[in-house]
Amino acid sequence: MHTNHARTFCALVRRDLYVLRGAFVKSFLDGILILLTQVVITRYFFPYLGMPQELIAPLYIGTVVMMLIHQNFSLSIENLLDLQSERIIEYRLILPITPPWLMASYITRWILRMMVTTSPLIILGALLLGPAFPLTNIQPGLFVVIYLLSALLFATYFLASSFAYSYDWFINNFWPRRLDPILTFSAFLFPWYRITDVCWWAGVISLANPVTYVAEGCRATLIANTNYLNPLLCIAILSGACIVGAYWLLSSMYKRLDPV
Amino acid sequence: MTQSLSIFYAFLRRDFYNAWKTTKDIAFNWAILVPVMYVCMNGYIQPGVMLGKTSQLNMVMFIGSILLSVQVLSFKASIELLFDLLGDRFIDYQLTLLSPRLIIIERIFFATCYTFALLLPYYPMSKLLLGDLFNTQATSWPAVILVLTASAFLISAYNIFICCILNAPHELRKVWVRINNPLFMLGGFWAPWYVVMKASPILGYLSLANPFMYMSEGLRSAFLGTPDFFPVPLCVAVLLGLGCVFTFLALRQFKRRVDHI
Repeated sequence: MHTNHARTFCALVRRDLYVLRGAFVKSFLDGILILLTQVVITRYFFPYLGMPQELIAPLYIGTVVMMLIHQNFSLSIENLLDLQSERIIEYRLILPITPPWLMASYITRWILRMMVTTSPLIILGALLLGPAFPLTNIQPGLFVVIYLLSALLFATYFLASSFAYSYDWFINNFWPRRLDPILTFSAFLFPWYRITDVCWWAGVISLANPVTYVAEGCRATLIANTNYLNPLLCIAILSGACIVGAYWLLSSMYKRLDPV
Repeated sequence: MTQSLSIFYAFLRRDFYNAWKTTKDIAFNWAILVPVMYVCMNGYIQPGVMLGKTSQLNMVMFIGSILLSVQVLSFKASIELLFDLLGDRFIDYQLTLLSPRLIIIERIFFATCYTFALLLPYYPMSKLLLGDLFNTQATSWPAVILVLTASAFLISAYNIFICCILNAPHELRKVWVRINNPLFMLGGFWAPWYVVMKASPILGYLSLANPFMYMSEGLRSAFLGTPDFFPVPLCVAVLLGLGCVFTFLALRQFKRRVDHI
């Protein structure tokens, strides 16, 4: 039984990879455009405004986190449109695969799309930022773990949101009522210790926000600075948040689709 | 002529009536929640982290943050045209009653009014929350309103034009990623023109062709009253001029698309 599920899961992932390969160049070029815009802003505009050079690299990592969020938002809309009109998901539900396995295939697809578009940009961005982003103190193993956990976290929560909310509510309210507060009260753009210096209560609130651990974990494993949150703490919190997200995803999916 | 005007007015009332159903939510989001969040992030935390709590540049940075709201709100007001053209085609019924030109002008007028009305509370809310950090002693409020109106008109005309040229909803993502995002990010959302010019003169001169730059510069000039930014009359003239150009392009494209005679 489990072999059947695994086989169907693999077939779905293979199909998604095939589709992804076709759209790779376009997605990559779109990513390059965003990357160049962000590099110009962080490398040139902000220092001319008076921002210290040491903030360039952490800020750039924040923009990569933002890209992950934007990409997941687009994927959520795709899923909502499918739930609203095309309903390809109904075909998938009749395949020899259980709903949790089906959700796992969705999450895998989303993670693959995130990795294809953002991982080259992290390397390219670091190269373009030059001395402002020294690549000497990278902890590759820990970074890969945090990056994968972050991708899993975003995929799980955004997929769950696309099941939990209606299309109209999502389009009109999701960004201002969910994402804006999450982004505002997190350390996604600037290091947590700098936010705490400016506004201690914002620092305290952001500790309850998983997005803080995504950005801080990436910073701690990519940039030589000991002021960021401990990567192991980030891994622990992100793992916990992923478990909660998976539970929410399954319950919202069952509620929406009501598979017998 | 009088009949056309009365139909024009009826269509306008219909658009406002439809918008009213979701206005409570959208007004709460964009007139209260978003300004509060932007004040916290772009008006307080970000300038504090980047420039220090008392920097004079805090306000310069914060004023540009309205650009995203201008674009999103106008987009929301305009996008119905695209979905209608691709789906229900309620527009076909409208075309039997009104000329294509007046239909497009009505849509642009509606999107402009809708965007402008929802943008109005943005800065007063910010002032309430930021207090002395948002210094409005040198602010010319009539100039702020003038620039906001001209900005809403230009962006609405631009969005209606975009709706007239797109052939599928998924192309919207391309427009946002390839056009809108770079335009507003490099158009004064973060940094004023003189900083762009200092960072790269080539980019500075290229920015002169970016309509968002005139919105942000006009607002900064109206709020701060310093000569570091483009003068308000120049910004308003450029915004209105470009708005007319996009209106003309939208009219032409719409006529081509729906009326082949």
